Amino acid sequence: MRLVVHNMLQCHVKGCDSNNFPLRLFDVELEIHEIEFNPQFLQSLLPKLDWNAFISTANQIGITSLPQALPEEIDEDFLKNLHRILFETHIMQGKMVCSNCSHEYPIKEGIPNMLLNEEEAEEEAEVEAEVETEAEED
Amino acid sequence: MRSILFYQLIKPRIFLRTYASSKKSQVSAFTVFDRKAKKLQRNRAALDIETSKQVDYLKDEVAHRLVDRLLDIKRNYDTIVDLGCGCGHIVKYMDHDISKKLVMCDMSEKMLERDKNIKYDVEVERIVVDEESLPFEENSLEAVISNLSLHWVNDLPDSIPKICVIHVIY
Ligand SMILES: [Zn+2]
Repeated sequence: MRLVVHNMLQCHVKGCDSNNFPLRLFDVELEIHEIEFNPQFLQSLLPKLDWNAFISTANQIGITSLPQALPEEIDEDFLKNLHRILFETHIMQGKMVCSNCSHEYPIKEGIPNMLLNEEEAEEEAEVEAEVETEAEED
Repeated sequence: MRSILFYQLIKPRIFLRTYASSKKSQVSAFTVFDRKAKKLQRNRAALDIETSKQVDYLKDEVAHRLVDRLLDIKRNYDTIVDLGCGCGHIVKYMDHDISKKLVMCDMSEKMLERDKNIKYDVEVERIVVDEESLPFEENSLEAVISNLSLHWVNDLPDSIPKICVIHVIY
């Protein structure tokens, strides 16, 4: 998962409607995967980005090379730095935690899991497997 | 007395049967499908990679037509969300001129992972998402498309209230 995607994810636990964005990152492992630099694409993306959420998230994972506010004059150096952080930095492992309800969303092998009842589902799968083996034994 | 005895005899069996179909989840009039069973089934299907690839052709064909319709819309996107992407069908036909990036979402992590190492023409991002409860911030999406997946969603009007679905085939 890259930060550009993190920037659009929010907690969706029923009733958790405020202070549920951005999700805070913990225990992250980062990897850099280089891709082609595309300044036009970056420029078109900038207005859609929640800058404050992006900055606070970048800070959480130790990236502090970005300005607190989006600069008025955007030069190539700025865009290249942004490109690296938004598009080339992948969060491979870790978890996202909601500031409001503390629900945790795990990230495994670069894929965030946004399911709500995962533990419950896993428990039930185990129970189901047990039931099946019991039934076979019968 | 007899009926009580009968009840006691039959009780464990009923318990076994109902236990598997999730007594914890709340049941509304719109709950037709057992989503957990569906997820288990999808995960299991994707684990047998070669066999599951043999049945890709159907969703591939509909995905092809869906992308063809996207071409009718005279604009290009930065990000398109593919809801219920399965192992990745839309992504095969998507090109850079339509969208720079495709966010592939499916409730089955095994399906999401099956073709993880294949390179596509667009940038791909994968998220494990239940279509019945979307985790996206309001107005954060440009376009959401779905290919042969939303027919497994229980309460569509309730599940997708905030996003703007532009093109759905289900
Ligand atoms: Zn929350």
